[in-house]
Amino acid sequence: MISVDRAKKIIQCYGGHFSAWPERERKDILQLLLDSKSLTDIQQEALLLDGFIGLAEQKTNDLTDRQRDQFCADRILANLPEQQRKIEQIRIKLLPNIEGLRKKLSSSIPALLVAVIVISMLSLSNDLQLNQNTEGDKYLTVAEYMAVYVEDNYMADEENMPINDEQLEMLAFLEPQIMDEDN
Amino acid sequence: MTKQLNKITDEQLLALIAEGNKQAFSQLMTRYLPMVINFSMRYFPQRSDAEDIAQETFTRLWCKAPVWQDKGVSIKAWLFKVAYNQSIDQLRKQKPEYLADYDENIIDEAAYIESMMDVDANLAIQKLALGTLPERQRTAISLCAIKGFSNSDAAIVMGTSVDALESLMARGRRKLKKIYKLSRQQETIERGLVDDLC
Repeated sequence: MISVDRAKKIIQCYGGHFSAWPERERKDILQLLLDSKSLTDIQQEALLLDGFIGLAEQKTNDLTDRQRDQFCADRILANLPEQQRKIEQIRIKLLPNIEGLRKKLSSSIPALLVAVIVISMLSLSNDLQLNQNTEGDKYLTVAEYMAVYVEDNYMADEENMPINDEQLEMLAFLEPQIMDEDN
Repeated sequence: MTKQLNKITDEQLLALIAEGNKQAFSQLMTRYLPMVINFSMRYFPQRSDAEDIAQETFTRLWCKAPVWQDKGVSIKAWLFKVAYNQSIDQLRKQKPEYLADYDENIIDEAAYIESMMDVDANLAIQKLALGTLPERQRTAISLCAIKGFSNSDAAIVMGTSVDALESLMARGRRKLKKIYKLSRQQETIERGLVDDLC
């Protein structure tokens, strides 16, 4: 059961007619009205004000307004745009998946970063290895590689190939090192 | 078909509208278009402005129907919320100072009534009484005066709580009561003058 104060507040807010009162409190107010003279007076005042507001309210009951409503409805119907149903529905269907994927990705960003770093390091290391020549599945040192290079490019065709000054200088530089490693 | 449409709920109509059924859309307009126009007319003196608001509101419903998501708001409340927001936006465009600098204490009811003396006073006062109220008080009273519109629906439309809505209505009605009393006093004085002259 609501209090008289609450009933008074409701009548002052919603007006004097019971149909305007909140449904769940309506019964209580009607009950209180039977016992409270002051509440009945407030209701009477509210009903007078309702009449005043009601006159101020514009009604659409006359024929002219009904016709104008119909014209307006016809105009709305005539100008309806296409419903972009399919596009919107696809978007709605995809949206939860995109959101889920985004959430998963955001939660695994640290793991992804670590994975990128590891892959980069492995790839770099592999690149270094690929840049080295192999001899019978054995990785060569830089000196061994140079020796093989010189042997392949110069020594094999030594007799047929004229050696210029630059190549001689290179040989002069490399030969002692190769000799040292051999020793 | 039309007879069947008369009997089905708003939600069922919306499901049909989502499939592009214009008859269902027409039926929904039959139910709510006059109410939406009438509601919008509280913000605009010209009916054509209110009709434009109603057109935009219903067109939006037509477009939204296929992707409608039930968020616990009735279709009726949704329509009025859109109409309300559109009306306020339009009002801001037309009269920026009206809403931006509005101080509800500025209006002096007595001065207002006096200003209406030269015209058909009673009718003018009655018709424009709500116009003297701040926009939100007027909207709260207008929404709750709509038949079958619950206070929670009205609160949804205005984006406020039921308590705040009740407070707005109480303040609005207090102001209207003042106007009403002043108009009654004026009427009594005028009647007395006429009697004296006779």
